[in-house]
Amino acid sequence: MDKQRIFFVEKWAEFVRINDDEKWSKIQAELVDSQIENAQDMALTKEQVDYIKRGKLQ
Amino acid sequence: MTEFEVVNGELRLNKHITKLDQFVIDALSILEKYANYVLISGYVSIFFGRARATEDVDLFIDEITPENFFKFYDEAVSRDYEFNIENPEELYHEYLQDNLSINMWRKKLPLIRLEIKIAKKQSQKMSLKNKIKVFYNGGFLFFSPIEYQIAYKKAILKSDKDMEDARHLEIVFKNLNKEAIDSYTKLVLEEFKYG
Repeated sequence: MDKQRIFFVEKWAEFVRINDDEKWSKIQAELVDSQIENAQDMALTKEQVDYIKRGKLQ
Repeated sequence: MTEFEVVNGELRLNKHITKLDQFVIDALSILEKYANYVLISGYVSIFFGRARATEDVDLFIDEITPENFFKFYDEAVSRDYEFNIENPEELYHEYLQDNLSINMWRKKLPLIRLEIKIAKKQSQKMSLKNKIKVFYNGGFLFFSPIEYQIAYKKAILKSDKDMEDARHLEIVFKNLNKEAIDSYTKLVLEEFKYG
């Protein structure tokens, strides 16, 4: 595991652990929503998504 | 202070609902009428705060009769969802019953999908049986036991992303049952030795 990545994962998890739901979830929602919006903006077809995902184990 | 704790199989939190959460809540409001379900894998960590999104929301369901599956399919389609195969008979017999997952998504938004699979292995059935009921704001969802997620991610999946998901859960959850993690670990290692 990348030590730097796991350091940030632990740092964020600690932030979630010690803060109110309201506080951490507001920040998380901004991040998750922006990723979802980017995905929606791509407006890929079902076939294109299947092509991208092909090879994934069922 | 957030530190999550499951007490008597239940947990409560008040959080901002993300667009990913809303997709899951909407889709499951249909599925739950026809089958018992349990959310598993990456979405479990994300719901409890992990700072990432996902394109696939995985879940197990109990065995489902063809009649119930076709009713579920019809209602989902009538509410603007699509599936990876447009033939419900084929979806049921060639996918679900053949231990393959089926995908469901909002029409024109195929990048975010519910991946539905029937629980066949003992550990998967235990995950359904021991699911936790999580009350969020005005509703509730069923999640796999956190101990199962940690065991499966660390012992079987083992990618960087999965190890990070497991680490996140270990930190944000209080009073995790270490014996249950060990027991799930032994079980999944045995099950997946044979594929």
